[in-house]
Amino acid sequence: MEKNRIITRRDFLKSMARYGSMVISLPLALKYLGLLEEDAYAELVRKYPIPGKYYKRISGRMVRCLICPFYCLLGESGIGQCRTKKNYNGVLYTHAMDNPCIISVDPVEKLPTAHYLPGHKSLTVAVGGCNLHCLYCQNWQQSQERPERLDTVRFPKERVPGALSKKDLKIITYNYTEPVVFMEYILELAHYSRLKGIRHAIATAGYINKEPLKDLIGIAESFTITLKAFDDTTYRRMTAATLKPVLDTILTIKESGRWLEVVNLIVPTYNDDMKQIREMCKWLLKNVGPDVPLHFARFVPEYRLKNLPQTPLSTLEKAYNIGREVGLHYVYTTNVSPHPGNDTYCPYCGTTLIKRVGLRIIENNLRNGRCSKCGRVIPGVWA
Amino acid sequence: MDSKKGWFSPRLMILAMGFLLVGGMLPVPFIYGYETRSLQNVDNSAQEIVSMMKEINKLKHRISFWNLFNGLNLSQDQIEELIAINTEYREKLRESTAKAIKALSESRVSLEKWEQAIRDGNLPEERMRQAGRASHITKEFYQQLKDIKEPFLSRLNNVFTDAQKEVIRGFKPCVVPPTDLRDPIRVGQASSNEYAVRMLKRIRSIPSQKFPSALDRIVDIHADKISRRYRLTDNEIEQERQRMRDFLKKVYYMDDVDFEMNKEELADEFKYKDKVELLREDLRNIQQELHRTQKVRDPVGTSKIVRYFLDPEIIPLLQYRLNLLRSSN
Repeated sequence: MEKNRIITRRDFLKSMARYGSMVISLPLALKYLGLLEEDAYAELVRKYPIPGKYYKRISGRMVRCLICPFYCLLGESGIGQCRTKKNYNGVLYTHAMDNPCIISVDPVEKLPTAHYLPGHKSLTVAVGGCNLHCLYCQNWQQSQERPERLDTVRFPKERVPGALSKKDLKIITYNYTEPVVFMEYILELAHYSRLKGIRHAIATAGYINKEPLKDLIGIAESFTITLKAFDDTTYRRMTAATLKPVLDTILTIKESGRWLEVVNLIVPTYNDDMKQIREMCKWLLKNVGPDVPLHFARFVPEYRLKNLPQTPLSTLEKAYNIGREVGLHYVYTTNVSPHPGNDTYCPYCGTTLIKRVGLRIIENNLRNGRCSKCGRVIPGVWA
Repeated sequence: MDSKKGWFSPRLMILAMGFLLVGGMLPVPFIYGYETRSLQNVDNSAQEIVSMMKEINKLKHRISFWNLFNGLNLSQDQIEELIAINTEYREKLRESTAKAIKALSESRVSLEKWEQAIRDGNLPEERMRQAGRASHITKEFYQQLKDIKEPFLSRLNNVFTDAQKEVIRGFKPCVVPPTDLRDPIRVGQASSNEYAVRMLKRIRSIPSQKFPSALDRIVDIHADKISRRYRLTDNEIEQERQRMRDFLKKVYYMDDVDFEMNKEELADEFKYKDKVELLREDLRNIQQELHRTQKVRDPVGTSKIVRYFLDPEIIPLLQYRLNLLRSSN
């Protein structure tokens, strides 16, 4: 009779709880005894503690990251929103160091930028991770993942000059993912290559605090900031971030005198309200002046917004016309080509200065940064 | 059953002879009827295939147009102008074809008479002259067509922006345009190296202890594939095996950064280029040079804008696009 005993539900649950708790506690016990390594990258990341000014020790082993306005509060082994910062014993470390997931040779126009060294090629470097969670991210496979979980390349600062000289490049651009989350790496590369005449350009969402931003301003020559929308609710809905810090970033960069371009990606039903776009253009005109180029980019269905259509050309054209009506001198349409909005025009005489097909330049009528017809200075970094 | 009789039996033989006799007496159409019918079927289905292929090609042609339109981002004004130009061109063409048909039918009669004369070995001088003129008329007709197109070329050129012209110049007819999200221009461009790069990355990820055997296998598969496709000689196959082996070794032991920075060039090198393809590439270069020279001599005949935008198929497609634009506005 004993042999044929049926296991009751109670017995089953009891045994599951017993064995389950054993399984859960085993790694903790092994870790406590020092028999288990925390993770495969523990050794690697321990070598790169981030500077003390970028985080604050709260109490015990708790730290607060000060790089972006999310101010992540991290307990022991806690990982930030950006997936690149980790707290080890009350010290904040970065996983995004020497391990880019993208290295490629691209035209600088890919940032996008229209007034920064047009026609030049650059070495693009991107490390996985991002502090924002944009619903339409085109590189979400890299940006929404921890850098150590991606297929990466070991690219320490010592290798940079050699790699650049092999392809005869002078510019490094940081694109595809969010440079803010691997800014320690950018600073290392920049400081190492400072004397070698290497130039740096950054494309970012601009969700960063003032202190770290100043460090980036210290090394980069050009910034392309993506202004995702012009009201806070939409900003939160689309990216999980807020609008104010991005506007502050734009102002800080403008004040610093570094080259600045602004991008607004128009997503149908999210931020395609023309009233909002007009407000944004007016704000830019008032606060950064008419000479900061503004790009209206076309949305291509990706990531979590695959259900939406791509931005209609008519919407882009309306936004483009609003930008010009408001008084901005350099308005562009990007991600749509060929289109008259891809070209650079002289705001004084209307001459077409740079003709483009996508990222390619087919005609450049600029003469030493001046209009070839009326001779007026066109703002930008031309050489 | 009597098993001692074995397999040979007089009764079986009589039965077989009976079958042969009946078969021989059957009328020929009855015996070959099946074959005749099947031949007829082949003929019918061949015709069906031909007409189906024609339809498919037409469809491909239209799809290619859509790809071009998608890549050009034509404005409403541009489409309206294109429709107006095409309507006018059709009108001009209709007028001149009425005259041309008369001339061409005369030349057909002359050529038919000349064919008869040649067949019968009778070559009167008058017929010879007539035939010469008739063949000249067809040449004249082609020239007339070009003359009609000529004024439209400059008008068409004025419709497009420089950037659009650049896209038309580089456009290659295609059914599925390459979708490279990082490059916004998705009009029939040359195929990207994405697949080859992915393959190279997979090869690089092979563990080092497995690489020698994997290399042999990859080279074998490659050699087998290309020899089947291109019918190479043994010597050529051996050369290609060696080239691929050296190349893959180079890629495998290459530094990560070097690989990432040179992957496009490596992907090009990875692809096998047959001698015929290399010769074709040379030919293409010569043709491009020829095209550049011809462009000066014959701007209408070599213009891609004329070829695509004075096409008989284009008006309904433009009309559809225009309606779409109007409704979206």
